[in-house]
Amino acid sequence: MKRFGLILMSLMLLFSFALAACATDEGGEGTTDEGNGTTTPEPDDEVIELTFQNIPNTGLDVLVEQYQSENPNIKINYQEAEFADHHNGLVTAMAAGSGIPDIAFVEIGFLETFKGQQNNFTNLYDLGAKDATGDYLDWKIKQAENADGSFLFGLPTDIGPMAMAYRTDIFEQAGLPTDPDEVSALITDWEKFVEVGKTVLEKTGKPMTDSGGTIYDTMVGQLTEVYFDENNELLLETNAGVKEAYDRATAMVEAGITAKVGQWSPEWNAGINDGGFATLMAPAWMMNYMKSSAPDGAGNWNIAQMPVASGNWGGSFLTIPAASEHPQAAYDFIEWLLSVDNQYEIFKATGNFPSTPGIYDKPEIQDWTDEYFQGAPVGQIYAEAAEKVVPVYFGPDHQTVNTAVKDAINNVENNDADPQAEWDAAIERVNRELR
Amino acid sequence: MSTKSNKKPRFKYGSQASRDALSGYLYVAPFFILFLTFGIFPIFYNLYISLFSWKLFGAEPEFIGLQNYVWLLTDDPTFIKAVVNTFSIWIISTLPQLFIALVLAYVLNQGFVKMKDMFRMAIFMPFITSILAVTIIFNSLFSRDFGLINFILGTAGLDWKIDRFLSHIAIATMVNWRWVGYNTIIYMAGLQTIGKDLYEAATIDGANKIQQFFYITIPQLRPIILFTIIMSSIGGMSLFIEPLVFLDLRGGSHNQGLTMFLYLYETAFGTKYNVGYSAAISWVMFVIVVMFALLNWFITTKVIKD
Repeated sequence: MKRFGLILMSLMLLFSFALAACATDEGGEGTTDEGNGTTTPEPDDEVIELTFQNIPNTGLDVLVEQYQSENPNIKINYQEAEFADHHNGLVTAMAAGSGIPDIAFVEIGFLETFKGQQNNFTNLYDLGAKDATGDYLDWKIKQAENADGSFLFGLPTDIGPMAMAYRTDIFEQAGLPTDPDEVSALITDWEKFVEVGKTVLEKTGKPMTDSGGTIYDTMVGQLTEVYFDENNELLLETNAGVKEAYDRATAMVEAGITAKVGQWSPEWNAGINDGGFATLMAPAWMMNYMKSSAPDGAGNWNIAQMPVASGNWGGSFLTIPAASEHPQAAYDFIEWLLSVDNQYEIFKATGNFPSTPGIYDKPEIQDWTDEYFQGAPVGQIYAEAAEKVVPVYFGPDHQTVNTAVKDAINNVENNDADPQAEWDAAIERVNRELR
Repeated sequence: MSTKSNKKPRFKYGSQASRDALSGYLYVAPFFILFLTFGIFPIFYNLYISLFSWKLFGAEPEFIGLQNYVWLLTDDPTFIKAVVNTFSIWIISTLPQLFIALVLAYVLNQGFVKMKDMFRMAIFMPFITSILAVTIIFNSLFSRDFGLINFILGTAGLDWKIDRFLSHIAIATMVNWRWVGYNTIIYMAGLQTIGKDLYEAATIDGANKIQQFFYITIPQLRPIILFTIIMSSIGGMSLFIEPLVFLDLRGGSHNQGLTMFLYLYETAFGTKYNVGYSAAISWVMFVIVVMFALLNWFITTKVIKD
């Protein structure tokens, strides 16, 4: 019988392992529910619990608290993770079909990828978003819609309208005007931009801008169609606008008016700091970045409108994955969270540029000037830029194609490669990667 | 019939033998259950995935047989580049690394060296620092305009990230810095096992320290050297964090530092989310590593026999 007991014990050990594994799998959720359920049963209607996954510094966390205290039957389980971790986690959760939150923050670049998986999201138009979309910029809503506009993936948080920051010291040295209005009038399109760039190079020896890739991104962002049409057919070889932007960017590189520094590199920060290049295409959120990583640049930069039109870089949405058990409660929450009034509060607290044009004439935006930019009326400039953005259709595989084309430009810039050969290689690579 | 009657009592319920067998299996069960779930199953599921056009985002998985392998082996210059890069970085990291480690171990093992413990610890220190931290520091050392390396070498403006071979040198330097100490310690342990009498006899015969190093130390250390070569091969074939942080997910704009492992990861979790193709890469990578290990083993044992 001793042996039998031994076997029994080992069996029990095995089961306890299995149980332990199950228990950890379900995590804290199960235990807290149990605790609440047995000791203090809720007298009211059920409490709806929503999981909200967000990234840091969005200014939304404060409002989450407020919503919970105003709506006692909603409990929001608020979670934050760094930008890349958050999005990778969401991708993995959706692929695995578990651990998906009720509300997920999604940046525009990732939203394009997610659009390939429409069935993983709730159509906000089914939850009453038709009434809310009027508050937001048209192009921003369009970014969050599917190709035929029948499906809305998310409600907009902030946006990244773009303007052109320029060094007044370099412009002055080159004998160019330094007043924002005059600069806007001088550089109206990319041809003029190149011309001015050549003047700057000749007179001061300084390159006009940071890299060919940045300018390419900016020019492509001003097209209405980039790499894919609305049926997701690849246009890379046929879209003349893309090729023109590519040719223009590589021509700038070959003319020597780019500084050959990649975004976010130490050289790039130093360039912003000490005037390594004369202009920088800057979305609204770039201002904070410039101030914190290039403090010595203060007073030397000013801001004018970008050539041709505006553009948008970045900005995000709040989405409701299809796995949510309370989509309506989640929708009511985000509609409140991203309402005109709350975007105003978020803007005042964080400076994130709101996607609701209704508040652009508020004094906080109209009178917003910035000493880093010589007291330029940045609020007005970006509000004007925001309304000039043209909606662009990207498509789920935009990133893959864009990476290939920008690598080609980078090779021309840093490796003296032949632009046409690199273009052909990029097309070949895209066709291989998309199969 | 006779075999049947022989076997029957062994498995009779309650018999001593069956109890012993059962308890034995139960004891090893936890490991095997975990190993099956997290070891064996994923390996074969990976093989299954590799037969599909399977993207995490987009259309439903579609069975395409061996097409992924055909593409990978016949029509993917990026993969060829990744393989060449991996071996290139491996060679310029392993050879100097093991040689320096051997020399350091030999010197540290000499009687005239004082404060041996301090040196041992100092040499081993890099190994216990985080790879990520090492890479970030080296990233700024190798930076183009403000890097210390360019300053010391007087090669201002030399971009260590853009040129293919230079980027390999930079990555290999990080690997070397981190692993020299580890190998030195292993060699030092090996050196302790070599009898002093060999050196004494050599000294009497008039051999100098350098001759002793080449004619006594290296031959005696052969099994240890084999071990370190195999270890560094495994590490070199799965190089990942260094190129990822020093360059980017694609190993730079023209894949100058892309390693096999990095390519595998980028395909599945970069912008493409192509897990089917990535699974195929992992199997081809497996075959390459096995072949490389066999070659390694073959050459080194041959050398030892000679």
